[in-house]
Amino acid sequence: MKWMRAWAILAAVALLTLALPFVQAAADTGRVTRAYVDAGWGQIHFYKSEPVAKTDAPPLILFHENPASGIQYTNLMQRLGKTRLVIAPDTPGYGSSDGPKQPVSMEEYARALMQALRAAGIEPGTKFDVFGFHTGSLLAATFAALYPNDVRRMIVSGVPLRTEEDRAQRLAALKRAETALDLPQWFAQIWDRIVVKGPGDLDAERRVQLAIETLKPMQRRWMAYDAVYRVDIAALFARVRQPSLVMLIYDGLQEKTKGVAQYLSDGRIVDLPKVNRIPFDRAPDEVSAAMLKFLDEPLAAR
Amino acid sequence: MIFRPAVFLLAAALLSIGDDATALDQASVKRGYAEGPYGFVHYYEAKPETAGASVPLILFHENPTSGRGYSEILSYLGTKRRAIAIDMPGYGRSDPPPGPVSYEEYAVAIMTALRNAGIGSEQKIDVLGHHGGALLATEFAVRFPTQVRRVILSGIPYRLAETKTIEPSNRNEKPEDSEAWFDALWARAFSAKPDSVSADDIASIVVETMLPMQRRWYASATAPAYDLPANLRRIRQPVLVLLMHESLYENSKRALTEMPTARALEAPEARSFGYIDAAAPLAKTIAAFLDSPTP
Repeated sequence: MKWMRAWAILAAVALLTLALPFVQAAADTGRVTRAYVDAGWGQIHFYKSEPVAKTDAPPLILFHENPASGIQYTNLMQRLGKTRLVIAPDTPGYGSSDGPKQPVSMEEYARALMQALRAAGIEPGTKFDVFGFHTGSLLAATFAALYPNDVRRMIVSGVPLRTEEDRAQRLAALKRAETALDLPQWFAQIWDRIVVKGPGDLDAERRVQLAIETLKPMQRRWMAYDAVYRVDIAALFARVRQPSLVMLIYDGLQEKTKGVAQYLSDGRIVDLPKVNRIPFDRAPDEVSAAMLKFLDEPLAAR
Repeated sequence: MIFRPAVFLLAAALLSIGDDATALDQASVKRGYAEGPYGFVHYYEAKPETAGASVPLILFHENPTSGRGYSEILSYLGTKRRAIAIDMPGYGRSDPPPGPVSYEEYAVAIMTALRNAGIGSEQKIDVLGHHGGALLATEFAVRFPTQVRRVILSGIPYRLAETKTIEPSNRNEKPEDSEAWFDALWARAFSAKPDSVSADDIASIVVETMLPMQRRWYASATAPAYDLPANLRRIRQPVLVLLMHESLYENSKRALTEMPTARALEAPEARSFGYIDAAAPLAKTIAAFLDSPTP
């Protein structure tokens, strides 16, 4: 939140001096705003960053991991938003987005999010790029397969490629009966993982913020996992025809992630061996540079 | 403008019609953001499908929670008027000021955001505030006397320091203190939970209260500096004081001594979580006051 505070101060100073041109120049350096649109099961909340100057670069949509929210991308967006419109929606039921009352499929999540993108101003005929991390990688691939004429390029990282048996076991073990009363136990776990044992080079305020963000879905935080475990990832990735980048981030899922490249018809791998946990806050420069290199380069037809 | 210089104590007459109230229509509650001087101000809003002539009502929450606690009552109030419950800057999902600011500054910041949410300077508004929110409602009435039409106050923290030891706000709190805060808050909220309020609602209040993190003391630190008695005396608009049977019942009653023309209503059904579990009857009482002809 430090950058937000810095922004508030900067904006206040600028307004006081009525230096309007200064405000606009400042807005170009990647301010991240937030908004709601009517979509899905009520409202969908999203983070947005865009350059002031008109750009030809296709918009980029970022799908988050669960049970986090689009907030995990705010630092990354300050960089990416300098050259293109970037939107990071909160998956329905997570962050500040309304969610379904019963589990839905990954395709249903994708359709709701497409509805949100339309409401947020991404018009039919506009090609856009997608990026997804962990659960978000399945959303990105579902988007690419479902909307082949809208999605131009795809980047995925932390893809939870699992055997059918593993998925079935996880689906059976999913704690569906959770109630609000289970929240303290959850908070203790997430606190231990992100705040106590979290990387020390990430400031405490951000770690705490990320931990608290996972409380928002409350007792329904398990719901998107139901969709995740039902996805046949090999089959899904085989349906993706767009130029794709598989990004290896060393947070434990890098080997599984590497495995999905074989199913892609136009896939390539980028290896980021120095990037590991909470990558979008701890290595936003490396991650955004790798993303932009792929998104902005001309690709030979295969 | 002039109300009978007596305090009405219509015990429960209006408030106990709970069964009847369940038949009330409910509007959908949506969330939105408006820009203010400290960044975004987040709000909850309900409104009728067709814009009516009713004056919009702005609701201010207690600290350190958020406007979410008003969701239920907004759904009732929103059938006839635009009803907006804001998250105070630094609370709920609103961006924080750079440091603790006075209630006067909070009021100015929120008014700026309301302008950006489409409440023009010519638009009359009504205000409602509970606990710390009562300070904001009071400040709105005094600072914007031509724009604010009517005022509703409940749980008025009147001369709070005389009746209760105010915990020193912890200015040195760190983000990492949030875990201890969660545990304490959870225990306190659930020990006060009446059967009529669901565990989901209580948990949701706890989650909302976690969002300000180490800045949760800002508003409570500046509240004592706000001259509530003097400002209550300055209110010229019609005032309704809802005497809810919760921790600040006596303080609210004593506050009436500063507002001889205020109307007061006993609201015994509305206890600590009154805006949640007594939302329907409270909405009826509030609407009756707001819609009553100017005497």
